[in-house]
Amino acid sequence: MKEVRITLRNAGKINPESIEDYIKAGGYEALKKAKTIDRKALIDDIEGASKLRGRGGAGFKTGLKWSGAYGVDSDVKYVVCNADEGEPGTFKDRTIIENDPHTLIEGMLICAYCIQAKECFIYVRGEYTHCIELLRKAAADAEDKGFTDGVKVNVVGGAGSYVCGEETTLLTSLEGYRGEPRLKPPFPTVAGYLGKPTVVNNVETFATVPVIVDKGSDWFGSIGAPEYPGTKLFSLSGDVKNKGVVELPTDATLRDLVEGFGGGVREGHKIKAIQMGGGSCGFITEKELDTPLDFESMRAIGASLGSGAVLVLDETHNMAEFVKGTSHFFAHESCGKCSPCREGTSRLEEAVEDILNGGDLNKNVALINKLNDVMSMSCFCPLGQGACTPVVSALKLFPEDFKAKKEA
Amino acid sequence: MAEVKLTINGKQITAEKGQTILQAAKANNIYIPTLCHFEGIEGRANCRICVVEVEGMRTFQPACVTKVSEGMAVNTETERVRAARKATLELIMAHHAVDCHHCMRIGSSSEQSLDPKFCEMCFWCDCERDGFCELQTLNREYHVDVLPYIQHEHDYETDDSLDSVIRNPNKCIKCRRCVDVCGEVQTVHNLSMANRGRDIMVVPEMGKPMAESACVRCGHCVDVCPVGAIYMKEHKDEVIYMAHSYEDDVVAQLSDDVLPELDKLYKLEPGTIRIGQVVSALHKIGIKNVVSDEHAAFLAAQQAAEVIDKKLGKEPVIITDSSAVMNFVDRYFPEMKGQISKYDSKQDVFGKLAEEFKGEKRLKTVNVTNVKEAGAEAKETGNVDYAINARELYRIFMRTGGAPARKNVCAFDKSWNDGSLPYAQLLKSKAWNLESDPEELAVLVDGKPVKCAVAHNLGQVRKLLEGDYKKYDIVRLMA
Repeated sequence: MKEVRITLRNAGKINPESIEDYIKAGGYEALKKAKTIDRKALIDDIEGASKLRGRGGAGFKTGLKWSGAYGVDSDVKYVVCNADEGEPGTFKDRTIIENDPHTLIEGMLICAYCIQAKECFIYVRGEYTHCIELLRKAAADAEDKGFTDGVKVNVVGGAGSYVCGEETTLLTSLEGYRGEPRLKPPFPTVAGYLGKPTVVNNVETFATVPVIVDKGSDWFGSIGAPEYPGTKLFSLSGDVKNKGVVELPTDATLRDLVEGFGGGVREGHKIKAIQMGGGSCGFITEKELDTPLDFESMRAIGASLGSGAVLVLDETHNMAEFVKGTSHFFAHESCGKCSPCREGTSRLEEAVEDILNGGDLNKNVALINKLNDVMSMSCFCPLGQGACTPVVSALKLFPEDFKAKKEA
Repeated sequence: MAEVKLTINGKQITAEKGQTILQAAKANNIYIPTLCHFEGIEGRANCRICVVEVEGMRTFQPACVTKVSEGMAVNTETERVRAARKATLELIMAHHAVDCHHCMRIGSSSEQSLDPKFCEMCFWCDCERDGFCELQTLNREYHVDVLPYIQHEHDYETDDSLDSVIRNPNKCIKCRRCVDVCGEVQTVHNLSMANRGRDIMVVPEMGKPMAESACVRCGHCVDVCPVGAIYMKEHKDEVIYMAHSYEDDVVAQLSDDVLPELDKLYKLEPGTIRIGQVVSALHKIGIKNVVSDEHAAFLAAQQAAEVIDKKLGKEPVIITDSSAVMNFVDRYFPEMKGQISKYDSKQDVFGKLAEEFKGEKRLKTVNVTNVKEAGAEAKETGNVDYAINARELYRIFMRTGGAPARKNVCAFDKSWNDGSLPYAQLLKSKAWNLESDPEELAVLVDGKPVKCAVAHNLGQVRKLLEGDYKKYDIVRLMA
């Protein structure tokens, strides 16, 4: 299987700071083309023929989201790009922005045209200072060249919280409040930024839109898996020989990615676990390497495509130690709004720590299961709902790691 | 209003479109436990106690904010939901300074060995909320006992800088009712949330102590706190001591605004306890002179009437008897200060009036009222020795066995022959509310109607002082 570069088509070929380079590579042609098409027809085309689905993790149909915002009667609408890439092991959005910031802006401008928005925001993870600079320059250049056509593109630095990557939290943070999730419904497409209809999409989703408009939805829809077509960017990291961002059609398998592009694990070692989708996802083992990298196939084996993070661990790792790290991460990143997550995440960390310190295994496992039961059902947002998943998954797949710790 | 059909626990019910599951359930006498929810304030769905199962939804939904929809099937008491609620309560309890279950008298902190009735008769434990704490009530309902976690109780210092409104962050359950009341309703914006995760806490302006913060001492955060994290400093020991001391003469002014709250605390039907029974109960604990607040109300209203008569028609009449309003004006509308006429509150009047009772012994004055700012006012101005609110009165009665509902009706110890209250419609006692708009009314002055507005909370005060006061001839401000 070869890498197919659609979203990353310009990566390494153009100077990301130069709008001329982007234009020479065919940039902003899609925007011009889009403006000749009827708005509703364009949205329907993206929804029906390209079947483009959100690349942030939830896999929601992009066209459906846009038509939601399009259908709401309001003079003011917004387009927001979620570039608060905080999921552990994910670095694909940064790769896109650092290589080709204009494709993101073009995608957003196409969306702004479709839903008739006059203002766009790119909420960039605060730590990505280089990305923020690049995007600010790109937005200014696009405005100078007249591509924005009255649409204002604002680049906002994130407030430094993992939960701000959740769309309602992102909007709350963008409004200047504490980064805390808010209730859905109303969904952002109805009442988003400042209560106005807002489309929130991931960087990768927006960056893919110009190519779809340019080359046609049918072309895009024919690539990869039928229900999740196109390509997906994967952030491959961990104990593989080659780490990095790889763009693959969605009918490629995990083996293509890990063994083909990653080159497998070091000589003399073998894969122990792969965490697919990011820090709040469970683990899969070598047995599932032949699963295609699309949304439905991953869900079918109980894993998740998520943000496209693929973290490979070899047998030198103790999974109990590993999930101690993830549970600490969630305890640190919980916003504190709802009680099960606020108190539960740190109790989860305590329980894992207690196991590592030789505490009663059965008691702690029972406690972890109890926490999982309440948090997965009662928490306000996906952070709390998924915080126990890696621990429960590790306990199920690698119980010996937890026992070994006790005996050691 | 469009109607929606849904089932709750298998029972077919009809609700109005736009109602929450909680509202629909309440209207149909189906009980759903709540903790952070406060009637009249928009739900935040923070505590996750009111979660219910909605068929077709992946996760439990909070009943306080989830809107009803056609054909919805809700289950409020399944085993899983109850288990989740209990697990949430355990998590909350493990980070809560539990002063209530540690019984010093029976030497146990186990839920099973504590009889709620016994607890309510005792009050030896430390928490000011014991007996009417919403968290405690839920813990009893869900049999929360031995916690599977290490207790984190005393991470923070108690902020008693005001010596009236006291905050004990160790008991805070982060429901944010106080933040909402302080910010959204009173528009003081003093209390807010700081930090994140487990370290999240309610802090006054910029993390300062209450005494140095923007707090205007209105006392409403105390009233809405479901637990003992914000409370009014109690003086029950002093009052009981004074009442029995040979050196002191105690005079109490009793206001009938404590009655509804007393009924609620004693779990009686509204209107059960009569004012004369409370007089009797106060006699019983040793307070010899109990007077009604009607005379003080009359004298205070006379002062207000003088101002109205002097200014009406010449300049806008803005009157208030509240020191919290004056603090609020000082902070947010200093330029308006000269235009606002402060007249004596009932507590001020009573403080001066009580001199009449002075005999050989030291005179001690106690104002029994449910005006929320009374406690802070007594502390700040010294107009009376102590102000006792309904909750503290209940705790005094519980400790001394003076249940008013079992007492005979007794007359006040002194009465005055006052005429009718001037501008009664405008100047009579009015209750605080959560509305955003002030009350409008017309009073007759020399046979002509005069436009008046009454602010029932500080948010309404803000609205009036920002310019709306110009629409009225007389404006009365309450906190």
